[in-house]
Amino acid sequence: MPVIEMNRLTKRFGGILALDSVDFSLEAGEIVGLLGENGAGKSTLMRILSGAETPDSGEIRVNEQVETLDNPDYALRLGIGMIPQELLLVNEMTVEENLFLGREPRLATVLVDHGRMRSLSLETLIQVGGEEIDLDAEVGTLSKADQQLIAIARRIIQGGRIFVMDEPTSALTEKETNHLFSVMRRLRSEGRTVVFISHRLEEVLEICDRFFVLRDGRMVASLENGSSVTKADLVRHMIGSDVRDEYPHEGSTQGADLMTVTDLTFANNQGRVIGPITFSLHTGEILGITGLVGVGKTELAQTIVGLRHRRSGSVQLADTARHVRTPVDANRSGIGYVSEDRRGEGLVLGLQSLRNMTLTILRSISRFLTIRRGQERELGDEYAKRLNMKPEYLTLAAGKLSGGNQQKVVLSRRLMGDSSILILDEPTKGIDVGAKSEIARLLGDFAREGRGVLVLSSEPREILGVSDRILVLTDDGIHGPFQRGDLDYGRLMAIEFGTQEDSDDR
Amino acid sequence: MTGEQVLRRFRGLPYAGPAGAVLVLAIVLGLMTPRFLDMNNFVNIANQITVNIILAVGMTILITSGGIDLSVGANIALTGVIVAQFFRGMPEATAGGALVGIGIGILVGAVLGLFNGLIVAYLNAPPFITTLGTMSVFRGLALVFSGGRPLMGINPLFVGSFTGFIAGIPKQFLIALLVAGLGGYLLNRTTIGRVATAMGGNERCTVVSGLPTKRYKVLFYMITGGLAGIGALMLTAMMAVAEPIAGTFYELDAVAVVVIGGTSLMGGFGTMAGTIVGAILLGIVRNGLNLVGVPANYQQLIVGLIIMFAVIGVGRGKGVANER
Amino acid sequence: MRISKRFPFIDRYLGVVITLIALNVIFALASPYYWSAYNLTNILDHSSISLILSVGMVFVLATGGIDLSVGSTLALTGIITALAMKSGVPTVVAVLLGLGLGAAIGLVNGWVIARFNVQPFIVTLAMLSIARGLTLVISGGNPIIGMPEGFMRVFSGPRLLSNGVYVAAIVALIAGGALVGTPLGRALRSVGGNAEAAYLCGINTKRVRMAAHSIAGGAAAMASMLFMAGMDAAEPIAGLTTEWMEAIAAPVIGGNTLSGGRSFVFGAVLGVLILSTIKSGLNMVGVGQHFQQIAIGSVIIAAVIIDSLRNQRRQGGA
Repeated sequence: MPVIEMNRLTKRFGGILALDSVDFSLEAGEIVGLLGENGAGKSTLMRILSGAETPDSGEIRVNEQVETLDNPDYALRLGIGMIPQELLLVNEMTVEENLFLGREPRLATVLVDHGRMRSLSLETLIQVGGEEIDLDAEVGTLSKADQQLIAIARRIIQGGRIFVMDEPTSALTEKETNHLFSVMRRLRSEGRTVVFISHRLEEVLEICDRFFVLRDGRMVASLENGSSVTKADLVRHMIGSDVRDEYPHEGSTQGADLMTVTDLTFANNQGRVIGPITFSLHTGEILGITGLVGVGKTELAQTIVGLRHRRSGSVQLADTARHVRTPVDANRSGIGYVSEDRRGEGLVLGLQSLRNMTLTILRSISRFLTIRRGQERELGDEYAKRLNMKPEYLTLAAGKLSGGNQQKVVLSRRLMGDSSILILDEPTKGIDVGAKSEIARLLGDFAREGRGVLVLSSEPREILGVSDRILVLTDDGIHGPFQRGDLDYGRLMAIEFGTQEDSDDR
Repeated sequence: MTGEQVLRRFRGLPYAGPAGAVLVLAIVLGLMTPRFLDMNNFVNIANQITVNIILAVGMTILITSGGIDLSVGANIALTGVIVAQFFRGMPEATAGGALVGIGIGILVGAVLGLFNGLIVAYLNAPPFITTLGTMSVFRGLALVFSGGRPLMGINPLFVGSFTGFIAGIPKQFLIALLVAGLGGYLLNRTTIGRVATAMGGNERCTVVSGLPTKRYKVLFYMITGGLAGIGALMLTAMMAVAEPIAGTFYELDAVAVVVIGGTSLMGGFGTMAGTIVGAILLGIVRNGLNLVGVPANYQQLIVGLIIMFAVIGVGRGKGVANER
Repeated sequence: MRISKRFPFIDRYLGVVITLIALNVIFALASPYYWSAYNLTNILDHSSISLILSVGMVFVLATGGIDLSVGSTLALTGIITALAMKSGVPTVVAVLLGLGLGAAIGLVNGWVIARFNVQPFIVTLAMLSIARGLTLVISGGNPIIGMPEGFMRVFSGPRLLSNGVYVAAIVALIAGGALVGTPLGRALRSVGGNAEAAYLCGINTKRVRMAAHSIAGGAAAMASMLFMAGMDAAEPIAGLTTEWMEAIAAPVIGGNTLSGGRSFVFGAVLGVLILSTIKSGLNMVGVGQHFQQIAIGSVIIAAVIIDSLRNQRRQGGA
């Protein structure tokens, strides 16, 4: 007897059909994987389930009874709740305050019963394996993994029977992910249901009992997990065709030193000091830097371009004696940085895509301060063609494009700026499989044109697929550089976890 | 274009609402009292909204870039006082002296703006509360430099350069329109305006992309301050006196006009044309209330109500409460 | 420094408390009249009005909003209450009427902000004009002089230290406790900290915003009672000059953030005390009113700079 049944759900946003007669069901005590490319409808479906949206047509049954879930509060009372990727915790409030937000135990109706709240908080934290978390700490100061546990604990306190988790593992280390999985299994054994939305197909295969695959608003597959189901199967359902080579690589010839990083040290947001790190980037190559999540790759990139304080060491460019101290310097020295936070740092969402592209080269398309719109448009068309993007998208606000197209806009900006060095942080994160290989191919083109491309990524297959040389960042420094052929998945993992001696130590 | 196409294009403009209101109001007032359509009355309105327009132009650019400046009113007072003291210090009123006075006015205004800009940009201070503080400081300085009294003895040649008519239209209003035109051009067609819009839309993005955002911020505050200086010159010329309490609440009027015109208080979108429409609307409302004979005591109430309704109509959906 | 990390309470207020003490020391040295019982009670008296206004403002700031209309609300509720008392309405009823009116004005503010999703700045800006306009219309521009004896006994009192100070202290204590220890207080702070999170936890953000502004309006009305007791009259121009600014500045000086989430009543209290100390101290030293404005403005700027520097350090300079 399914706990949740959603039949023939349809939802339109303006002219776009987000969900097309979708059927979906959940049983008690299972972990279900919800898969699909970006824009396939996963978020919409889950928002309807948790009461944040209402479908245009279709029926929802909770415990066999037809329900109208038209506000999140009601859904919560029925036990349905979503933990979105942003977690939605109040960073300025304490752990305990967050746990009981909106349902504080009362004393005489108007006051909060601190005693009961404290004991209940401790109990629940133990349930999610978070005994070590300080209840009075500000949530904003905790690690992503701990925040994740708090979000789950909060759901438990809210009496959750159905837990929808949206990309919970994208910022977690493997150890933290395993811990999260054990929590999920425990929830399952208590008869609760977990919906696991993720792009990480290996993880989905490991933890889920069943899968649902959405494509273009339609539910195209619903299968049991078993030894016969492979990653390729899932991918085929998701994009409707076979993708032979996710990351095509055609090789390129490498040249002289383009940028040299020497003894660079910096600190992450929690205060941990990382480094010293030394390496060189050559012309014509794609240099990949990989490592576990949280090891400091993003912080490294930020330090190189001057967005993060450099404690010691230097970044030097071959052709000039110039040091890079600020992002303005980086720009002027021909370094094009593409942040991993596309929406937050890469784009002005309300601005036209074309205008996002030309943001840093305005001087070259204007005379006497006046922007020459004709020239701007021509430039935009040229790059849209080059990156295989429909020219109509140029006049759309950047916020309306898909992840892949958004990334193309940001890349165009860097290319227009004639960057000789590209530094890309997680370039294909959150991008559907089809666009992933396109971008990978483009990176190869850029390198072949004589640029130096530095790619930082925590996806091992991405790094192994696109890089000419590979560096591995671990807690005790940087290992490598390894040539492309010398590393495979197994050896890479061993280095990242420090379980193997490697000869090419730096 | 057919009539229907024209109408649809008009409706799409962010300031369509206020513009429509202006039209309707003008017609209604014209029917209610013939004095409204008198040329003298239009001159009156023009004079009343001149300083407001000048302040609003700077405010539009600044708000679009994500900032705000509550000190412009106090800026007007302080700059006016300084210019007046300069004129009083000169033994005789010369044309050269008038020119120097004008220069001083613009310079002082811009320097005050620079002060604001440096604190906001280089010390990362939040604009609202910072300019609240500088407002106090400027106002206090105005009181100190003027001894708390209005200052007279303004160079008449200076007064003459900002007053008077050209082709029947008040000179200062034309200057205000010119400033508005230049401001609109700056916002819509130049690199500076584009960067302002981008910064207001997502400042972090502009920083990460490598734009010299701090310098731009200082520039925007200097523009706002310099325009306030021009406003000070105009006010002093029009009144032939510089008062330390001048400009009180002018900043709030400027913000109101900008918002009514359709510019988003959060930044990322600005329309100069809308600001002008907003200024005209407010001017006509105040003027209309006067002509129709509404007692002075009621006027503030009615203006407040109108601002409230206009803002609900225009600012709708742009606030912080957008959970659903 | 380690001590201040263990007790966030101390770390948060350390700077402000030191500043307050330092100011007192400086003024006490500069003028023999400063440390007199007369002067200190004067400071507390005048602080009480600002204090109540600021405490109300803290609730609005907690939700990430702002209220520019508190000065006008103060004036309007004062006039209405005074008129009522003059027309023979029993004092208690008149006072409750005034408080209710203040809360109602705030409620309108909050409702417009939440229902139409408009920025608080501009809505309360319009209300500033509306309330001020109503005040002018109803009062004809003239003050109403002479408060009834019962009123004066409650809000002013015969002793040197006006009862208003006790009223303010009670208000502050209740408010401080409410912000931390009641569901409403937590809801307020969550709306300011992360409104989407609050919404998805089932908090009715619309009602929360209305409540916040209502509280600010009610506080303004209460402040009005103290004001009238102090002047023995209701003035239509009350709250016009600096009160609304100080109501915003004091909380910020005391560590409240404008974006909400991090809000403390105690900080507002300290902020008010600092501003009052400066005003009084400068008076004692013989500095004119004009310089006071400069001084207050400078304090605001300094507080803001310090706060932003502290924020930078908190975020690790990223």
